[in-house]
Amino acid sequence: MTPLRLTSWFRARMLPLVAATAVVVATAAPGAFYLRERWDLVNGARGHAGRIGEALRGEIDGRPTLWRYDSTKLAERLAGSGLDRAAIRLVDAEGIPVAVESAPLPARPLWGRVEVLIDGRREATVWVAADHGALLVSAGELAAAFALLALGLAAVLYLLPVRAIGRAERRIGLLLGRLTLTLQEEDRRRIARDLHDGAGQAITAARLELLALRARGVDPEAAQRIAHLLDEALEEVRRSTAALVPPALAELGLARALVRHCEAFGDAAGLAVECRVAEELPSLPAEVETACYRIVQEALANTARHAGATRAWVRLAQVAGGRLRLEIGDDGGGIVGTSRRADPGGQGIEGIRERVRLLDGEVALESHEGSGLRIEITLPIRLSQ
Amino acid sequence: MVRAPFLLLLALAACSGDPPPPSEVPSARERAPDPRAVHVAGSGAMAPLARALAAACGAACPLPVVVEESIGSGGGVRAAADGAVDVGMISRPLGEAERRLDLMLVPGGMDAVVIAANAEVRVDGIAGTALRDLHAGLRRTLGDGSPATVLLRDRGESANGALDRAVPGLGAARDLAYARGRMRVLYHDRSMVEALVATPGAIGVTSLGALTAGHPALKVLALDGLRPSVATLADGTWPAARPLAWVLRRDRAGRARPFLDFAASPEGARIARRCGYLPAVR
Repeated sequence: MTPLRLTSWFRARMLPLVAATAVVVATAAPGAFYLRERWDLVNGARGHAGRIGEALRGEIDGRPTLWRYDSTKLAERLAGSGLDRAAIRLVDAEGIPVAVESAPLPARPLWGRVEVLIDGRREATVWVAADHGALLVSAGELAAAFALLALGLAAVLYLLPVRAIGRAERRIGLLLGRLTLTLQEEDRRRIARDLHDGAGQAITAARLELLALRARGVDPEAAQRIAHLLDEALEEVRRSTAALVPPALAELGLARALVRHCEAFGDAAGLAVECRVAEELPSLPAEVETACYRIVQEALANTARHAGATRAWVRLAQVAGGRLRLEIGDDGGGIVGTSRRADPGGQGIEGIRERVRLLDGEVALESHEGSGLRIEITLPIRLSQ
Repeated sequence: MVRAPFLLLLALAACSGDPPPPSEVPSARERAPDPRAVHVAGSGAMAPLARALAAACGAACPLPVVVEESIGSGGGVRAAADGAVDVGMISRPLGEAERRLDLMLVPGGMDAVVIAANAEVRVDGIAGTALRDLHAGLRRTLGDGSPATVLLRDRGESANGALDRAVPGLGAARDLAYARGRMRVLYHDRSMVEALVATPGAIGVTSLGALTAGHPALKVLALDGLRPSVATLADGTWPAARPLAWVLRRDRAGRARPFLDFAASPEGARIARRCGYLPAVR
């Protein structure tokens, strides 16, 4: 059956969406924080520079030339203006740096600048440096925290639906397979019924008519040949209907059908087949009964073809947890020591696996070289909907 | 959708900050001399001497001499080098970088660095060890048990170095005081004198010349029994002395020469002694 590929389809569409969401979550808040704080830093530095400019204005106005040379007086002025000590740079109207007491320049300065104007003329320019490094550290810490948050969110956004879709896909696959099997069995039953009720009845009627003709003396040899041909056609129809639907299953029920098959198969294959079926089995779904019967057929045929066994056994019983346990074993060469080795997962075993999987059951193989093969299958008694 | 990148770019541009300031590399500066006056500026410790000399120069100085507000020794050197003033005043030896400016250095005498106290302080002197312990915070009272308030000058002040040579361990104690940040720091001689006058129990470092020139309300303390004076400066017994000098550009020496000649004259020396300075030996 072609896989649905729902999960991979969903993954391909979810991944970019989740990645984009994670990027937005990881960057939006730290980015906004960084821009806002940076805005505050720059404006704070400009405000600080403006207040220093105001403090300088009187000094420059009183001593238009010599104010540049008195760094200590400038420092006193600035200290007296009630400002926090800051990293300050001062340039006069000619663009030449003026020495001034200053806090150490931060490693990553962010500058705010203000011009000191007297009578509309630029007499000096004051720069104050804000510590951009500290902001970068804070923003980095926030970004790391949000990256973790985004990672967690992305994992939840991605994994939860993908897992759910995966579970749903497996379930849909199971139900589709089971539906296919049911439809297949239904088709087989219908074909077998048609063959039996149509072609089979017609051939039987023709044979009876032919025998009547013979009794009335119509070329008995020719009638005998035609009757023989009709017998062969009838047998062919019976074989075909038996292959399509195990008639014994419908006629005898699972337990007796299995016993009869084991006896018939043992006689035909020259194999001692022991069949032990629990006396009180619950009522089973048709799919489970058919699967059990077909699995036993396939396993015994496999034993006869490959195992070189002298003895085989079949056991069917109900076990705890509302499940059936079907065990088929032989005393042959096992998987390793026989031609099964070349095809350990071949059509026989693989077919069994597929049937069991579709019914939500489990298969376990136990094989030791020279000591046979044991197949243990558990199947649910009630099928999930 | 089209607006989002535009808004992001706008936000980034708005908080991108201003361009950085120009390099700190010193630039040459040239200022034309003032044809109307000779300008003198620099160390506040020399300012009282310069003002007294300028006032007395009279006919000996063809151009009026203007003594500016203190800009410190370093500022005086830089201003003289740039031609912003004709004469710079310095109360310490030239630094390494300053020597490379190729300025003329004219000795201006010696200044006594002293411990001055508020007029209400009852003691007349202080031991070097007590001064050190007061700075270090190991003691809080003067010799008579009265509480003391120590006022500091800024780190670059030349008076600190002169006093450190006289009192072992004082420099380290002062560094401790700066680090603790509990003591008030003054940036000029004038502001130190004003703070000493206004603060009961205050003691602080200043210049004998700055006190002699006009602040008799303050008390000059003896240090380890020695009293600062022109005489103890002259005989070398006062341990906290600092050299004074005039600095000027060679190409502007002509404009300042009359004033410096007057300062080095006997009249200039007399004025210096009267102001509490030891005049330079000719």
